[in-house]
Amino acid sequence: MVTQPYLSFELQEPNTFSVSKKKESRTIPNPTNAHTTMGWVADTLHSVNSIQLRELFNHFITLGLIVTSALVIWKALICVSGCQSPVVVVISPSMEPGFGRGDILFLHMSKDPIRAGDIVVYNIDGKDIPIVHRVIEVRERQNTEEAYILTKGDNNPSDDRVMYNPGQKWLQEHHIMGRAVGFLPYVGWVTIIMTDIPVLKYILIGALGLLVLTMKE
Amino acid sequence: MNSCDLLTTPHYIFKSLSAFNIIFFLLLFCLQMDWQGQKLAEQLMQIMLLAFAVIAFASGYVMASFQMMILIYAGGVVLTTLLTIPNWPFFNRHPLVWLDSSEAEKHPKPQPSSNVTQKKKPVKK
Amino acid sequence: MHSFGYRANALLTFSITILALMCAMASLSDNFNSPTPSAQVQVLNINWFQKQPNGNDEVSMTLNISADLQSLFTWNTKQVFVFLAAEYETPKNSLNQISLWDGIIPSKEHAKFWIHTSNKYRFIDQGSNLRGKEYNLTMHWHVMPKTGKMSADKIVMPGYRLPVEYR
Repeated sequence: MVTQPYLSFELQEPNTFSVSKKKESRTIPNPTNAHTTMGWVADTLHSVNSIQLRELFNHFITLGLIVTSALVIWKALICVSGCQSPVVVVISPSMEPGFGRGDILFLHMSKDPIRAGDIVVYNIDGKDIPIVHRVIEVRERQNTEEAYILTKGDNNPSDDRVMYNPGQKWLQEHHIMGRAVGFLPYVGWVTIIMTDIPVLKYILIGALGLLVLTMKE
Repeated sequence: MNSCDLLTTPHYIFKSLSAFNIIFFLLLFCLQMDWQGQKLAEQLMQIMLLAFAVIAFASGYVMASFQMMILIYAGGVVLTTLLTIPNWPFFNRHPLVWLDSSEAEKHPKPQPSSNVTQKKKPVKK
Repeated sequence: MHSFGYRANALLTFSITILALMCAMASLSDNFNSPTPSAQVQVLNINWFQKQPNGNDEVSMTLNISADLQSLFTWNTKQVFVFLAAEYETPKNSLNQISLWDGIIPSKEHAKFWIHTSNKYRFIDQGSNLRGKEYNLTMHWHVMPKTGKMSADKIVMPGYRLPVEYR
């Protein structure tokens, strides 16, 4: 469709192009005539380029839309659940047989006080790997909202004090990132495999990108 | 060793099966599917998966076994794959009839129309 | 074959969506289960009751725990985590919850149990407030499903009292 105007341009205004071309064959090519033919070639090339450019832009914008909508959904999930990472993958076997390696946990944080038996995800100061364990002891101070919390993994023989910072005997509420409320088995293996073999991550992203670019919709 | 023994040896069976499979799948994937067939395939896939999901859920619930539900559903997915992905002949019941090359010569190709509105573009000098 | 790829993609997407729906429905079906669990705990013996060098009281006891949690199990239940906690109040803390014993029930057959044990985890106070203390023993359980929403509940058994003097 974009090429049509150029053709019709040529047909409807013969005095600028075709007539000048005819004149050219007999006379010495003067600079203005040579310029117009060169201009016509350049225009055609430009039209061809702009088709591909437009489609390319279209594909990139579609890709961008997909990526940003995924981001929007993720951020909305963070908002709804109240946690920085609302979906986590279990990596260690310390909560077996309830949560095995590769299971997915859905987290939610509410203002309810932490009670014994809650499965919580917490971060130790200075360490960035969150841990999912069960609360086994709670001491709540009178009159204030402070609570002292002790956790333990179901499959561990002893409580988590060995994992806390040296000298730290209790967790506080501000260490807790969320409570586990939902569970989906085995789906997390994808994440574990992609983290262990980083090449797969790049291959997957490349394949997805290729798929989006080659699909005509 | 008569011919019956030869037929029943596993080696022979394996060879015949694999050759049969190769021919079978080549045949299926090289056949075409027509428009009606594609629509049929898509509808069949959706109905089969939904039906198997309902059957799987109901039987899992009644038999109180999660395993049973997953197994029935997995079987259903495999069956649906076998039935809708390869180009079976029954998807080609209304085949497309392409024009013969001799016929094509007789009918002129449509020309682009010459009254297209001129697009506003500065003439490059 | 472009239509082959398209069909394969459509089938995969649809089947996974249906699977997710089935899992969600299985989780929802758990709500129709109205459980009637029961539990009983007897403190058979206070083994010892002392004050630690750091000033905290510690007590060790032998318990007789019996419970029937069979009605908690549904087709979507993977295991039930059950634990017994002592709950009491002190002048410094409005609530203390200490887990004394826990166990994992993998299936319905094991859900009716009777166990005679000393406390698995140490019963230590933050301070020296346990003499003559009244406490509740609460049986908590946590139902972990095969897929979906987890739920927890408890039975409170009040009326236990620690001895007045150290032993």
